[in-house]
Amino acid sequence: MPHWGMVIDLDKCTGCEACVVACRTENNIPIAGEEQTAKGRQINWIHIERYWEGQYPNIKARFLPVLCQHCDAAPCEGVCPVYATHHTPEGLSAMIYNRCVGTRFCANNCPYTVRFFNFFQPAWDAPLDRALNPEVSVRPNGVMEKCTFCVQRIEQAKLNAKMENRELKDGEVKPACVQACPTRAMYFGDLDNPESEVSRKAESGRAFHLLGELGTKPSVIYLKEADE
Amino acid sequence: MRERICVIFDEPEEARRAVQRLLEAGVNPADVTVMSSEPHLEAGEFIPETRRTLIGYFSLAGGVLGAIAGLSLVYFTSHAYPIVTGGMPLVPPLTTGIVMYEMAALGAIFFALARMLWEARLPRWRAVREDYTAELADGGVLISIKSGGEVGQEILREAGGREVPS
Amino acid sequence: MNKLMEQPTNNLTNERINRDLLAPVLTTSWRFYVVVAISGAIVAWALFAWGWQLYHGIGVSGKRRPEFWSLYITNFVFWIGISHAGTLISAILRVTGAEWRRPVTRCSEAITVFALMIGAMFPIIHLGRAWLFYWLIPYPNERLLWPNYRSPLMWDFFAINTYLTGSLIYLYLPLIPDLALVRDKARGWRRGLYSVLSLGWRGTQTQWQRLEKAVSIMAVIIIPVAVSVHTIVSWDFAMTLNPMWNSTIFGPYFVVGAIFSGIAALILAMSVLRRVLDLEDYIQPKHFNYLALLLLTMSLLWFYFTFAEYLTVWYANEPAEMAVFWSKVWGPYSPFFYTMVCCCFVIPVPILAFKKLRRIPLITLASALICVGMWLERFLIIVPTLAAPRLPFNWRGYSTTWVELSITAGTFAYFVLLYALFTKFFPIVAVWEFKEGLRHEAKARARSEAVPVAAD
Repeated sequence: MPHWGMVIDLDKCTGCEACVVACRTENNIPIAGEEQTAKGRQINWIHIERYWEGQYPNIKARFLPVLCQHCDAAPCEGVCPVYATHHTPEGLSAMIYNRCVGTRFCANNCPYTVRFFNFFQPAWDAPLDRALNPEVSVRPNGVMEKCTFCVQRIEQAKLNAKMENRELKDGEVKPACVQACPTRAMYFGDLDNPESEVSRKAESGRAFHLLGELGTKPSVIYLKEADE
Repeated sequence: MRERICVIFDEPEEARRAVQRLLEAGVNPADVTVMSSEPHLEAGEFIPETRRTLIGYFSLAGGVLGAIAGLSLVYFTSHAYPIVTGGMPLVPPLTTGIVMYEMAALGAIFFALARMLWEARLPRWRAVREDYTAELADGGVLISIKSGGEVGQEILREAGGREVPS
Repeated sequence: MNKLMEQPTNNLTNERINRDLLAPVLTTSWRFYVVVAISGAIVAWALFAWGWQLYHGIGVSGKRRPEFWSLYITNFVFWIGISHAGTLISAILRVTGAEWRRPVTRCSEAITVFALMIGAMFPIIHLGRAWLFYWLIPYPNERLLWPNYRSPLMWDFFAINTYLTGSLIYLYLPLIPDLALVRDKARGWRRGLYSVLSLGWRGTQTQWQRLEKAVSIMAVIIIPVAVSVHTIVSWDFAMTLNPMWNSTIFGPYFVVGAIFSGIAALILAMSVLRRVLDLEDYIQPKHFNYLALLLLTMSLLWFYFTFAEYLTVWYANEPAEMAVFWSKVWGPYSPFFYTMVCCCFVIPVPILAFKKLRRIPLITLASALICVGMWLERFLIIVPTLAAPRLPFNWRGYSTTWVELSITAGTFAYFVLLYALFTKFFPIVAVWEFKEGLRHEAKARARSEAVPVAAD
């Protein structure tokens, strides 16, 4: 059984936000509007954080794509009283929208603050309301949601392989963000397979976990910028 | 003669002496009921209780049963549909302990209540109509003896009580 | 002891006690209707606000990312804290045989029950899908899914359930003889109602014995339950990884805060009751004096815990924790922080410590301030931590809305309403316990007069 994981090479990230747009389109993420976004009620399963490094004039813009880290010891999972979030055998931290009653405890206990809540009934401006992805359920008002590693694409790839009576190939599953990245800064694959690209990248000396000191065992591995 | 006689005493000490005399005269303690609107137990019982209370033991048993119920609830329902969360074991001893603790307290409370009601013979709404007087609300001690209380009747009247219709 | 503390209990006859203590039940003054009308109107407005929130979504209550919890959980912790007034105080005083407890046990137990009912509403009000709250209850269901006992919210469920059941029983048991008393004194529909409620109590010797035994057992059980309830409420926060939440001190810190605010609420209730229901001869200055001393102790303990909490965070100097620390001490939340310190410590301590100042109006003022301060404390525990998560990109300020404020105000009104109704239907001072106390007192006095004391 695979253990899905992602590697993000920060050296290659230009902060173009193509992944953000791809994710919104793929996963039916509602449009919050200007006013609600200013109040912090927008939903971005993946978002690019920009920060500055160095002093003027040697100043550098750095970009950090942040998405659900799919922690193996996820702090968000244990606190849900109704099992709306749990860990799958394939290493995904899964959300079951139907079970969620909206305590928002999981969001409070996520050290990465990558869980999002539907504070209102989700809405799309025309014509986006006609462009919803039929593979992904639309989440109702009062329910928690977050990055799924595009579980619908994982399942589709597994099904394709099964139909063709073969093993799943490395790099066959591509979440929307990975597919959309113009600089190929993101990699997705099986962390349990030592031959996979993500496993090899994860062994790099540049590899680190976001807030690794918390011991949450994330499945997202960052590669820091190379020294110049 | 009437089946039952009810006599009210203004002073608990008078009532105490009257009960003493009744018992000395051979009246069956089971036929005598002493009632009051406030407890007059600081000087001891009017009639020696034959049955000791078991509320404490029941409460303890309720606590043990509650803890077992809590453990079973957590263990069996968690295993009926095992779901992995946060890298934790399915039934972690520490968190299960909390549920067991609360269930133990709940069991102890319920068993103590149930046993108390049983021993105090509550609820018994009919008894109030048959063997009681609302006058008791103003104080005093009411002594009532059941049938065959010819001797008792005599004693109670002599002791200075006021007979009331029950 | 100063003159105020002398007790004019000698002239209290049985008849007068019955008349005074049952008067609120058997007669109704215009004040009762005014209180019910005003508090009822506020409650109705809060219900409308809640309906608004159910229809539109949690967003109208001001919550946002990262402040997923705010005033509702503040109110939850606050009210559960207030509920420790009662049962815990009354149980401790009963177990330790403090005779002066008698006139205050009933009104403190009632505070517990109502504060707990109101506190327990908030986890439901704050749910994103409140109509599915019953999914937290462990019962065999068609979803074949039982709740997750590893979640602190489930511990909350069990703890509050046990505490509410326990304190209802603990309130009801000593009430039975008083219900029988009202039954005997009442006429008409009241007589029928109290006949049923008093379970056919006649006050036989066995009944009294069993009742006192059961009450003393309940008192012993309810103390550890009350301690566990607020400990578990604190664990909602302490179990997380968040800065200034993940703290081992939270259990006792919350319990101390709960008892602190609980006593303050009890004193407030007592000073209102004695004025409104003419109970000056029953709820006396000495009761305020004793409770004020207890309140002083808790105020000092509260300060000790708060100091320890902030000191350890400051000295360890971890960046994530310090961000929250500074936002409270010097940042946008500092006005609330210093108001809290003034309300909980700086102003009450001198009032409660000096005998000259320890008088009913000032004690009441201190209690009111403490209630405000403790509400702010809960707010300061919840919002600043959420406003400054570990990744600084997510920091964001918080502002509330009319919906949240209306529901908050509504619960205070709801408490007043429930309490007013309770005093209407049940004697707020335990009649039989009070009479029993008078007899004990008389006996003690007779004994002390018989034996010459060296001090004389």
